Amino acid sequence: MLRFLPVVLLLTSPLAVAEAIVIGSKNFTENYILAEASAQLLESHGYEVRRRFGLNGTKIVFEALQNRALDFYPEYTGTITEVILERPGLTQLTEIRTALAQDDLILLSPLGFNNSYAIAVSETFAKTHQLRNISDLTRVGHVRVGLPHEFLSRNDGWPGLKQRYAIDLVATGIEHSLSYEAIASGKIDVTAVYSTDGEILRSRLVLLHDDLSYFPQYRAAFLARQDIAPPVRDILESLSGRIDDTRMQQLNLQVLDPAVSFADVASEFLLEEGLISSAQDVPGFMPRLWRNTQRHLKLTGIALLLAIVTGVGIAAAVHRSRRTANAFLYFTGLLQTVPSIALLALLIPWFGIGQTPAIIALFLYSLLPIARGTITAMLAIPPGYRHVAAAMAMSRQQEMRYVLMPLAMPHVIAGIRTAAVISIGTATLAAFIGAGGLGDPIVTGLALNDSSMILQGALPAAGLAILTELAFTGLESWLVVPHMRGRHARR
Amino acid sequence: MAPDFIKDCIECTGIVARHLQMSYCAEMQNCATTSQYAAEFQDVSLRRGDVLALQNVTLSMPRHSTTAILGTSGSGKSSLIQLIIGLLRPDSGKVQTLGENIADCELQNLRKRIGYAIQDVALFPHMKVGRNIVLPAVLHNRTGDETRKRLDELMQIMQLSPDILDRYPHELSGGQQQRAGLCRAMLLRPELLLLDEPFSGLDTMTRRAIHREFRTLRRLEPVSTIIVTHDPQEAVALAEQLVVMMAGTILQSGPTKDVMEHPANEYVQELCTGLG
Repeated sequence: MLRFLPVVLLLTSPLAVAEAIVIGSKNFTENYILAEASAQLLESHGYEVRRRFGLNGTKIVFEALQNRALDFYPEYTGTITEVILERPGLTQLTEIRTALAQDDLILLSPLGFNNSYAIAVSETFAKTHQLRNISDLTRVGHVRVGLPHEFLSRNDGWPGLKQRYAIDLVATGIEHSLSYEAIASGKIDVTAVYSTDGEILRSRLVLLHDDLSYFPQYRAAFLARQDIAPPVRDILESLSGRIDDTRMQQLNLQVLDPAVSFADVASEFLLEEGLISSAQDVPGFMPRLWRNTQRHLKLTGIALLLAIVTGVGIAAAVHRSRRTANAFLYFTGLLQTVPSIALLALLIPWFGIGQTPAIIALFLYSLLPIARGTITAMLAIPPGYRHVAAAMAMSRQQEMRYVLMPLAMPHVIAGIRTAAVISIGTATLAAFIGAGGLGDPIVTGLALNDSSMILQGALPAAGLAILTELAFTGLESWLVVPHMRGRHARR
Repeated sequence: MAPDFIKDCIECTGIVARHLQMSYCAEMQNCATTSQYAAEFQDVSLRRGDVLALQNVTLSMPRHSTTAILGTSGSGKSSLIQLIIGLLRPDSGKVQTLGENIADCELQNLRKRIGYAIQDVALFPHMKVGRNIVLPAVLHNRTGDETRKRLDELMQIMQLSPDILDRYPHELSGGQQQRAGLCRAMLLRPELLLLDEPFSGLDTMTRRAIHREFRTLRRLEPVSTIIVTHDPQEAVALAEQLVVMMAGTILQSGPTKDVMEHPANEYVQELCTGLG
């Protein structure tokens, strides 16, 4: 029983503490680095910072900002006009700022680089044909073009580009991750890349200048709430203009080394720029693992406890009416069919991001196994026992306490056990909405395509699931007499 | 030989019962109602699903004697006992238990005056036998020396050794379980004892032994008893009053002796053949 003590202690800690600056990031490398750099910079100025990194997509992170769940995060001008404002016509910063002001948001000064699509060729190919601009491609006779599938088909991709530059070339589709390999081995001459991709440096590619301004601008800048504290804003502004395309490519490349973390890269960058005086102490493997595990247990523990109280309570209340019991089971079953990532996203408008929506989602998922276990067990109790109980003039509570609950207990525990194991698995997804836990390294690992990083979250989560199984075996032997346990049950 | 033995027993029980009736009634003075019947049915019909379980049943079961309700499965005999204790409500007609109309009395209070034991699920499997037997006392806050004494007394009558108290029901033989079930039903000295096929599923030898102990119990404590059984032998061995049921109706009722001597029809006659 003592192994539950840490969980119990965690449950008593409040969900949110004092005012800290909450920083978000999307779940790809570059956004992590920018967010981490801003976090470390603020920390060096003595601010308390909360990192809600690896949020899954623009919708989630932007809604979080609107709901005051975040103070700021790194965004791109193109994404703001295309996705957030849905006004692709806006190109000037001042126009964008005016539009954002209506939502009480502000875009700080751009950091410098532009992460847009770009047309890339190999260094030798550029030299041979003396290429600088995209329009230079029209001069070259035979060019083999291999493009990522998405770019090939998007209207604002290849078809539009061909039209704008009057290029008469045939392109073939190619997997994005293979395009560097293909161009390095000389199988293709031209491809499309993201302009700040670290691979550009590693594969020694040359980006052709978009001389007809075809590609929309995706200039990076911090998108913040308008009421952000002026000193904080000033500190963030000190980063503006410091990162050009090449610098960003370098930073992105550095992170590709599995031994180097976002925090390392960010802190090295800030040191080089003279913005901080000493590298931040990055927590080591064990403290990080412990912190993530603690958070994971907290999320699942609170959700499970709520689900036990609610699930068993409602099941006990409705089991006498088969119709109500079934309705309740259908409802909880329906919840189960909502994909977890969708459920998490749906909860954001009401509960923001972080631990609260994660706990609510886990709670909803835990309801079904617990309620089903309890109701099924109650319905399976031979009516004779109820008759005897009634004949003894037991009150409802006495019947529940002395007869129904003890008889149902093995199934109730089995339901809770299932819910606990499912929760531990599902809780890893909570990292996508900034709830932390063992999903954190998994989300980061996915962004970096770093499988050892993914395992840092996946293995402990699996271990935790096994420990939970064992703990429940212990719990069962404590609560249920031997001859009524599991498949040996005798009645 | 058997019939003589049975007759002796019936007579003997009757005498003791009459003897004890006075003191027993004195004890009952505090009771709200003192009907002369343990249970009364007036034109009772009961539907269970699509089946008419009871059809215009009118019946009185006297106090301080043992009434056996005899019938095959589906004859409605279990419905009868569940009506008596208020687990079922009649669709029409009136059921009175210990003088109380089950439709408008406080069932909890009525049930406190009744002991109930049934086949198979006699004891709760998750409780030790001792806990099972004293549970009624626990529920109504009557644990103490008196209950302890009562437990010893009943265990002795039912020929149970104290070491079974610390075991779980499944560790006991079928006979021991039924005896323990009876002890529980009798723990709080009920005014009415209801037994729903309590001894079926036991082998003949064990059943005979339990019958013997049950008769001893009845001799010492002439509680009104209604016992549902499908076994004519058991009915005759235990009961002074006999009710024969078929398909939700009463075929015949009256003192066991009368029913056996003057069966109302062939069915009853066939049941009684070979029983004396």
